[in-house]
Amino acid sequence: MMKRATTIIILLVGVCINSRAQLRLPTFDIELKGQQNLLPGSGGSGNFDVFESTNWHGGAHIQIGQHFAVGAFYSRSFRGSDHYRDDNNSTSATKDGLLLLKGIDIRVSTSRAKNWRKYMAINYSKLEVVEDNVDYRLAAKSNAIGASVGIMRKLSNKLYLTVIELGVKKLSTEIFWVGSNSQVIVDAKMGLLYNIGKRK
Amino acid sequence: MVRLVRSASLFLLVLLTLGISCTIVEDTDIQNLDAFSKLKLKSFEINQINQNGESKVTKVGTTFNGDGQLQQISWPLFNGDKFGFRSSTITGPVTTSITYNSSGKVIVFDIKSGNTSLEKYTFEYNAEGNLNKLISEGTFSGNVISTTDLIEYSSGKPSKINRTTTTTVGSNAAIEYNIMYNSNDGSVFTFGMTPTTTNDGTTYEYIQTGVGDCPDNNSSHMTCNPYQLAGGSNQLTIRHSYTGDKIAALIIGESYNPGGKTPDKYSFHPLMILRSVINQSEPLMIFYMIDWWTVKYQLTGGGGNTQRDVVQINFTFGI
Repeated sequence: MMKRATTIIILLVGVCINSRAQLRLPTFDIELKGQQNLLPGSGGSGNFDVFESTNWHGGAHIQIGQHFAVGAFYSRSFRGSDHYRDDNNSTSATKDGLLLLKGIDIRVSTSRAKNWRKYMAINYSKLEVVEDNVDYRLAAKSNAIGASVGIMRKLSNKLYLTVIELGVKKLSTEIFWVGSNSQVIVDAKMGLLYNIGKRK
Repeated sequence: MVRLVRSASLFLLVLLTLGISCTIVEDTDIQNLDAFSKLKLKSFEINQINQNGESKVTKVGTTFNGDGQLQQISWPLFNGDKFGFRSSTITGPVTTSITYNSSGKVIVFDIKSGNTSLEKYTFEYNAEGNLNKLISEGTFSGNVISTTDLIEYSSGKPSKINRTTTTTVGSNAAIEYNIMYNSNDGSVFTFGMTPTTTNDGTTYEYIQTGVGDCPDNNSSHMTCNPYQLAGGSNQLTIRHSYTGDKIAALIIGESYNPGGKTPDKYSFHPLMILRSVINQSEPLMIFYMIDWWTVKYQLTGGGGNTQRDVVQINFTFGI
């Protein structure tokens, strides 16, 4: 259901881009960011310690007025690792890890100021985590609801730099090798956002 | 320029749309704990690391039965090594055959040199599938010794081990070990022994965790919790990392303890490699590692090996 809605939104955006009509609305934006994710474990001796990954994050939003935007995002890791502690509480094992996030979000932002623009967003995503043990892989899927706050700096009429965006996501199901105490992902993003269409 | 930007944007969005339909999960991935628990030990290697950080890695030969269970082990020669068998005299290649019951549980672990059994371990289980009896037989320090351990459980965890021992020079008094757990994280805290002195002159009275230095082969030592004899200066550290019930690595070493007596070797015990196929095996594994170390080596003092040598057993699991 989510995938279909996302696809429709993005195709609509695409149609609008290529429309030769004078109707410039809706205005929309695309973004490309680097994203660092952390899924902390319960810690302590003999336990999963932390999963961390670095993702490419891409997204597109239809802007509704100056303050609201609705869109979709896709985030996929290009590196990542699982860390475990041994029973004497020192980090002892590291495995390769992957993280995929895809979902929809709603962004609320301040007005187009001269330089800085603050925003917050809520999102719903499908999440996939993989731990690669060479001989076998562990994988899990979950849904996640999250929120983030950020600030971007205007570089030109259309281009913004997301200086920092901090977010948190709550997983609906536990990652079985991580444990039930660890169902929150925190993330930080930096990147660029490009506005397309009529400036409102 | 505007058209170029629009075209580029459309291209990006098409890529994004395609990307959304992608997944990183493959059909062959293990996606739940049940499937994960079915992973079997495929191989293991023994890495002996001296105090200079030099490694000697020895692969252990393994063969499997039709159910994918470890059936036969071909051991390397451990002559002069830090790690070895508790058995006194081994002159030829050593193999192990493992027998399972109809429930897939290990019932016999027989370590042999040729056709001669060096050490034989017989496992029995209660109705819950927990190991409740372990008979260890072998020729240790020149004596044929048979040890029978009856294991009791409380709240699903091993709580008491009642031991009777017979040797070629007579029987020892029964010993009772009470296993106590750390209230914070549930890890093994102490193995209390009653009586406190055995009738063969053994004087140790208690095995407990303390706080000391881990065998990290570095000049700066990590703090960890080694197991030691109460009142004594000898310590054995056991570290292991794991996912679920699967150990990735088991690391054995002494604490940095210049004034203490140095164990010469660490003795192999089957629970070192059977942790994943025996319920609640972690406290039992720790107990027997300490027990085997203590029985043979701790009381006889050090030999040619360096105090801070470390033995690391690396395990590989697979489908």
